[in-house]
Amino acid sequence: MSSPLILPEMVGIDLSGANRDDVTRQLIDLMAAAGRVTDADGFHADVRAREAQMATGMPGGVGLPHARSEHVTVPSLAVGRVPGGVDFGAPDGPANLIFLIAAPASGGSEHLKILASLARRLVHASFRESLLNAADANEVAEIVTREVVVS
Amino acid sequence: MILTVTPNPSVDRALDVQALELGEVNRALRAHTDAGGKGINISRAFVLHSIPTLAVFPAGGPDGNLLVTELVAKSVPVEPVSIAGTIRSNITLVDAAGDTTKINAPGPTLSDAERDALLSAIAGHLDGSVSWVVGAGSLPAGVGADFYIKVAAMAAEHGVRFALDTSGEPFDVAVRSGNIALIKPNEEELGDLLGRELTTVGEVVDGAREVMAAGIDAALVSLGAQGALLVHADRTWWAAGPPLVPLSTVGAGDTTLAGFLSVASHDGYDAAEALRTAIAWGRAAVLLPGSAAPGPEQIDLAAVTVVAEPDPSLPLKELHV
Repeated sequence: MSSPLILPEMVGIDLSGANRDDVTRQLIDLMAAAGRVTDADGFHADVRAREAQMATGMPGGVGLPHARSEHVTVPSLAVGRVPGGVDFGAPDGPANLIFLIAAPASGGSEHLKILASLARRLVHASFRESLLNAADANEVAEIVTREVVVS
Repeated sequence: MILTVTPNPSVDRALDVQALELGEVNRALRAHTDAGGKGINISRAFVLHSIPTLAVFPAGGPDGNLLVTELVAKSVPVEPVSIAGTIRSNITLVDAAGDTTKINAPGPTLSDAERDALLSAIAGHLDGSVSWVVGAGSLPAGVGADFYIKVAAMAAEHGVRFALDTSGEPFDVAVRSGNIALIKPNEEELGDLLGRELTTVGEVVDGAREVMAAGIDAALVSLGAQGALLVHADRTWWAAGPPLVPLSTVGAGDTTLAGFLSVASHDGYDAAEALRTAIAWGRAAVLLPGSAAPGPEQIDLAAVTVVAEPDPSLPLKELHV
């Protein structure tokens, strides 16, 4: 992977939103601003279609919206911290950490590799806490880059 | 950590209908979708008991996506290996009378490169934290009947114990080359392997030891409602609990193996305790619907009786506590 999965400008350190669609859109806009998504509306529709199949909440306060899309330029990960929480369909309550995974349509199952790699770290409370306690976007991006290795 | 390998995973779809009419449009009352596959079932059980695990399996097509997403949503750590084909889809139709019709779609054919990627994914996680590797279930076309031999050899190379739960040709081929710490056939699968019917405790024990001579440390032979026998080279234990009314036996054998490994993952474990735990987990599993695995609060170790050196002349069907 030539481009880094995550950049500090794709981290929303203090987001709030009415619902999962709203928070997801804020992350999509960060990706679009970073040049990772060419058409924010088009990509948003692809993520919505994916979410409609199955909720992507994970126990421990995590939301994992993801999609392959022709509107994505390179495999990318945006992170949002939502102190007030937002429902992502997990059985144990709202999510405070949202990860938006975007992969180009041509990327095969690249997004699944990213999802699996990220989820393997997210089962550890210490990893989630390090992201929630990180001082700024730079630190969040640094932790993700160090810990999430996509083989 | 216990690493499970499911070479041929599936997405299981169950549709409940009032009455199934062939050649007509049938409407399902309910539809359930479940991640399927023996190793995946074992990893799911471990997650409920906070036992570190990783499920490695091939994933391809829309159902591969579904499988990964569902396991992630259940906090099951996964390492999917991308394949071009689509993973198996098993469809179960259940009518109001409880009659069940199953249709299993054909699985994918893996290329040599995809098989190698699957083996590399396993090797990539074989560090010092792994206590067991479990190979479970059937093999997809293309990986070769000797696939589990390769997995066993990799585990041995890293000093990791290998448990095998499969049947038919892959079982037959793998047991001949040994290198296996534990096999988990039921008495029918063991009988198929030996080419003879096993009807007494002694026949099962002798049969298991015959197979184990190729280099297998132990056999956990499940006997359905009659519990299970644990056979070592020089010792034997039988365990079972009082009769119960099962709700679903789907995946119960996988949960039984998971229970055994939950104890066997500790150094110097007590074999009788591992067997007791295996039976307790299996019993809890059959009281749950579908392939659902039990959590710690559903396990009743005290309900299980363990007998060391059971009478070899006892017919299997007369085994009870």
